[in-house]
Amino acid sequence: MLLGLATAGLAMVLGLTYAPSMSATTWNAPETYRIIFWHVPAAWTSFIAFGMLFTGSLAWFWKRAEWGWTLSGIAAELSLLYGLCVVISGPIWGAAEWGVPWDWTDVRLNTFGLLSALALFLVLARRSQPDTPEFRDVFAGVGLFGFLLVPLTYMATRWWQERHPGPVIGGGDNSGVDSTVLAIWLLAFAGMVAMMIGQAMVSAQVQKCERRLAELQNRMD
Amino acid sequence: MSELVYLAAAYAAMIGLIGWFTWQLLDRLSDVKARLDAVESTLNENEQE
Repeated sequence: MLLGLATAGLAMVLGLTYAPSMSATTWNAPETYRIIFWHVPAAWTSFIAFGMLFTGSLAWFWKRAEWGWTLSGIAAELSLLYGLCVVISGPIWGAAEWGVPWDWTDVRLNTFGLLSALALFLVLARRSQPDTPEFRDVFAGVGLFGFLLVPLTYMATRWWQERHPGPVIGGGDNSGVDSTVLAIWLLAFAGMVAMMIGQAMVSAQVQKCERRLAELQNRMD
Repeated sequence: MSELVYLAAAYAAMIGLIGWFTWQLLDRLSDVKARLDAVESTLNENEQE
């Protein structure tokens, strides 16, 4: 976790100091663009977390695998964490660059917002509802179908580009990104993934201890 | 508002979120470990008696 934090921190410093400046003639807020050095890697990291949520939900739904249930719980929290990083930093940049924090007609913004809301619902539901097979099925069902929003969010700027910037990687002839910006993105992404793996390991340890505690308390009763 | 204020607000929010989440995760771990140790030691005492 610490290694990941240090790597992502280094990328942030490089993004603030070393990354090239943007032209003031084409951008309204040429300095605020530096938010992207964590905003974009946080979005990529959240997609990995949503992928883990899908895998865990599928494993529970299909095989009734206990590890799938554990993984889906860990992934829901991580999806919410990195999703919130994106949903909070994006509107701050939007307020500076566009003059408005949110655009309800932009599909990319709204599908990502829905994804984060779904992660919030799953985290709150897991903390407030009794752990029954029926609840696990509903949770896994929401996790499975909610994942459909991930490819839709990814493709949204290719199909219906409104206000959110278009794709810069694999987006056709007019796409592309400065090599320094790309290198810093990849460094921040590596750091965030390392941090996410560390957080997932601690979270798994918490769940393991809680299961053991419940077993022992049953024995005592 | 200055561009730097937006930039600082965004990074402060992201660092704060990640820091708070990690802190509460570690806090949950130490809490559940302490409760587990207490229950295990009670069980051991009961078995010895």
